[in-house]
Amino acid sequence: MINGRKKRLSLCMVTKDDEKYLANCFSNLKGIVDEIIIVDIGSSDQTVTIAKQAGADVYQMNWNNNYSEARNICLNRAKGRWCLFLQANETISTEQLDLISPLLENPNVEGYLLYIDHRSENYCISSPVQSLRLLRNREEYRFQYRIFERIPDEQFSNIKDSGIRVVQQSDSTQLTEKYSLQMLLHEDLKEHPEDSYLLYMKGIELLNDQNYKESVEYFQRALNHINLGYLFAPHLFKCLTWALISLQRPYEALDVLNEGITHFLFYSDLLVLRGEIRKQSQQYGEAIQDFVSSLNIRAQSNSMVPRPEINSSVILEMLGEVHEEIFNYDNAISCYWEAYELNNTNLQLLYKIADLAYNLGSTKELEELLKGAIEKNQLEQLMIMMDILFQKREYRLVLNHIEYLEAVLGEGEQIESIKFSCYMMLGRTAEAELHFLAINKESPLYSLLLQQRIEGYWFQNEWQKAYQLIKELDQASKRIYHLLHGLLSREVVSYVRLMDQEYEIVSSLHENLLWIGQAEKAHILLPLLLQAQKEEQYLQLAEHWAERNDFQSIAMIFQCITNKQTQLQFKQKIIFQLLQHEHLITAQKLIDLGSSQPLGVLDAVLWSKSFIKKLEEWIAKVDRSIVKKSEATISIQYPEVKPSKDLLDFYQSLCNSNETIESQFSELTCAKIHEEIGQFFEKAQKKQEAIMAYLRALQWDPYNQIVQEKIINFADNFKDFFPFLEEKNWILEGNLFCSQEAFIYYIHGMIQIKKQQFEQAQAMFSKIAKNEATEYVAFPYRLSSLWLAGKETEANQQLDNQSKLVDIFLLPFFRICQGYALERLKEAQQQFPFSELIVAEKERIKNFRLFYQEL
Amino acid sequence: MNDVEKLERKLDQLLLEPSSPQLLNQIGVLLYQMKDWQNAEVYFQRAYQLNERNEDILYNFASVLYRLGKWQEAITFYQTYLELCPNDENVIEKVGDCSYQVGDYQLARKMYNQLNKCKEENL
Repeated sequence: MINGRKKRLSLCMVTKDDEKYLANCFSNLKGIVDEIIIVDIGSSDQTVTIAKQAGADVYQMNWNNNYSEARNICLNRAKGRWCLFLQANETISTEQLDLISPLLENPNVEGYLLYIDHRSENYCISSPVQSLRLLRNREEYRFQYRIFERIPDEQFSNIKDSGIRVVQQSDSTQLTEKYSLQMLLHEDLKEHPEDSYLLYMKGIELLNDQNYKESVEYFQRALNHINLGYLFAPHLFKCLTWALISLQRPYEALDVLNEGITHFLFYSDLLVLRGEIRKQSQQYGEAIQDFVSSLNIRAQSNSMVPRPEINSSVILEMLGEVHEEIFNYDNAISCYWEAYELNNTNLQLLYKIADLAYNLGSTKELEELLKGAIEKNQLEQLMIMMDILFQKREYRLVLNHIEYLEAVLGEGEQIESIKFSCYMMLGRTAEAELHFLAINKESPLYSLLLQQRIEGYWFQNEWQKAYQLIKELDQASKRIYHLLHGLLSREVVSYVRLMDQEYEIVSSLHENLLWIGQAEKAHILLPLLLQAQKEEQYLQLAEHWAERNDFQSIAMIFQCITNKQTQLQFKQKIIFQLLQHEHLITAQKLIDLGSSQPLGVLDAVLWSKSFIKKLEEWIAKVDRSIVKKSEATISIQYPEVKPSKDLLDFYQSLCNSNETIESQFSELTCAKIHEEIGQFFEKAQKKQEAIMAYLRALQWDPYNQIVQEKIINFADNFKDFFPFLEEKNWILEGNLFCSQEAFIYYIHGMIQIKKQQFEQAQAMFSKIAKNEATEYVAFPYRLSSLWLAGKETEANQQLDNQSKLVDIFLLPFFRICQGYALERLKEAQQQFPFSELIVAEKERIKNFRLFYQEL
Repeated sequence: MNDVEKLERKLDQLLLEPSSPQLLNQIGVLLYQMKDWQNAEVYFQRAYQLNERNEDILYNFASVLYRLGKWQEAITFYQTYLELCPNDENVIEKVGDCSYQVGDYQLARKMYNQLNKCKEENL
């Protein structure tokens, strides 16, 4: 006690030869701590003197190879109500120091974790136990073990996260002491061979040494003896998983994670690791769920200790990668954006966003990023954005914003060379030449720009000028430029094996030629590139040809791929690109190359796109051939029939709405109103009533897919559905069905079509007695059951035999087939629930209009 | 005691009291619970013939008719019931639903309006 007042905070430190750090450390904590307790374990430098000069209470002890003993001396001597343990080479940032004082006022907390930022080059895993640096000074709190000191959890509770990070400078003595630390741990383990904490710490040591196999053994032994209430328990699960992943034992890692997650759901790192394993096993839906859950957990403010270490920005990036794998590029971009907003030092994310945005054919994100960089004067981001725009060949955008780059880089050859390249690629040779003049012959840029000038001449077939410039090239480049010149100018030359640097030159020229639309010349270069056998580059090569829908070149590249997994990835990426541009035939041809491999989501989307295209073409063909047929028309009531006032009034009273009918319900058709009544009954859990309402909706509009879905759902889940249908004395509305029997045949047939039982459906619709009105429903269904079964000739025959003006049947026929496609996509969606491609395709089909629907 | 045993016991009782509408109604209820709608209808009908103004019998008879999809008939009996218990919201709603099923939207609207009014008054 000093002046009758107990001190609040004691800085406790164990030192040995720390003279170089002490002054900095003390000045960092000046005004924050009330006293400094130093226990020196045998310094031979000025540590003790410096500490004393700074006003510290210094105690020198005989070193007994026991750090706990040293720390406990600190605790014995400290007079503060709280003790802060730091090493001499550790500091806390000024802003974070202000956070300490309020922490000491919380009466419900016994200790705080402060996280350690290691500044050493080799990142190493450390236990959260080592983060318990701020604790109440109580007699019962004493450290155990020679090394990796720990106050047993049994004596210590109510630990919270402080949110404070300690910066630890790298210590060159650490390496030399490592051996002795291991010896101390070994001694402790000899004394306590089943101690879960020591086994866990030994596991961490081995993990840091990348000795994964042995670390797994120690972690597993620790797990056998652990009390799940221990502070380090969740971290142990994480470390064991990490070691198993490193040993490529993902299934065992999953088991550990599953167990860990059941105990420590809020330790989101476990979910993140599981997500990553699931991603590696291509269980993308499950991986997304894990990443999203871990983000949600992190977003909740919870006081879980230890705090998870994998931050939201990293998780978002991982989530973005999963979305990217399954072609959910919009979602992936959103994730990368969010990740970048949380951590704008991760500039790699900008490249990822750019790549995806270009894949989607959208530059909006990039322009926003560029604008943001200019407005906020973020130079690094600006440079990256300009680099991306240049790579993506947005030469006009680059030129429009070059002044901002000039402000960063200053005027000079670098800016001149960028301007030159942009003008060259834009075909503005005269302007390019002006900037070329600004480049000194001795400059390293000169040779590069010279090469671009040569290429420029090649683009324009000015062979002589190109040839003259090649003479100016350095020896290293001459070989390849002579070869290229020969190839492009169609002189007879033989292909050679390219060196790495030469490959780069040819590859870049190949892309440039395709970009300016000289595919023929690019095609000449393709065998040269393929001869280099750089399989990792094949995808990039093919992407340019996919843009041009050039199957021959894509196939040529594909044939050079030897690895099956690479073939699959190639197919997936290229088919995605082809689908983006609706190049369906090429996509289909690519699928047929090599061995048959399932492409997941892409199979479903390609099927759907091809199906709708074929359907549209068939309808267009039929429509052209029948226009001049019979002029007879069918006088049927179309689904757009408006409801009676009584029905509207009923619906209004059902909704208990006081609004006038005209304002709210005037657009409702009979079909729609019964559909909505059905929904009302369904919500009220009146199943029978709902079924009847939906059936009535179908009587007015037998092609309504939403209602059809409802009925199919009832049929699947209500075992008495068909007896119910046949027993009830229900009334028929509308004039499309002349009898209940006909309507029941329709219901059976409609369900069979959805379930791809085309023959049964055909038979069912054939049972419907033919008359003018029923043909409006039965004929399109008979037609579609033939067409969907692939019997197009028979379908054509049916049309030829139809005496009525058949175009009235085409729209219903289209709607039936459209419904069938949606059903197939729904099945695919169950398999790939997170696929944005399938959702988009479903939307496209729902909104698809035949050419004459748009008229 | 399970439903079958209960039913057997009631049927034995019926031999002793063949004209008891209550007993017939109870048998009908047991059959209804056993989802034997057709036979339940027969017993409720007999009970009704013996006592046309019993609200329980009326309600049960109408309910089994509703269950059998005989909505028009169900409306008649529910309406008789409503004469005895005019504010039974559940039955007002049932009549509304039955009316919808038979396509009598005017009556359906009337019943739902009545239901809404009852609900407002009970608020």
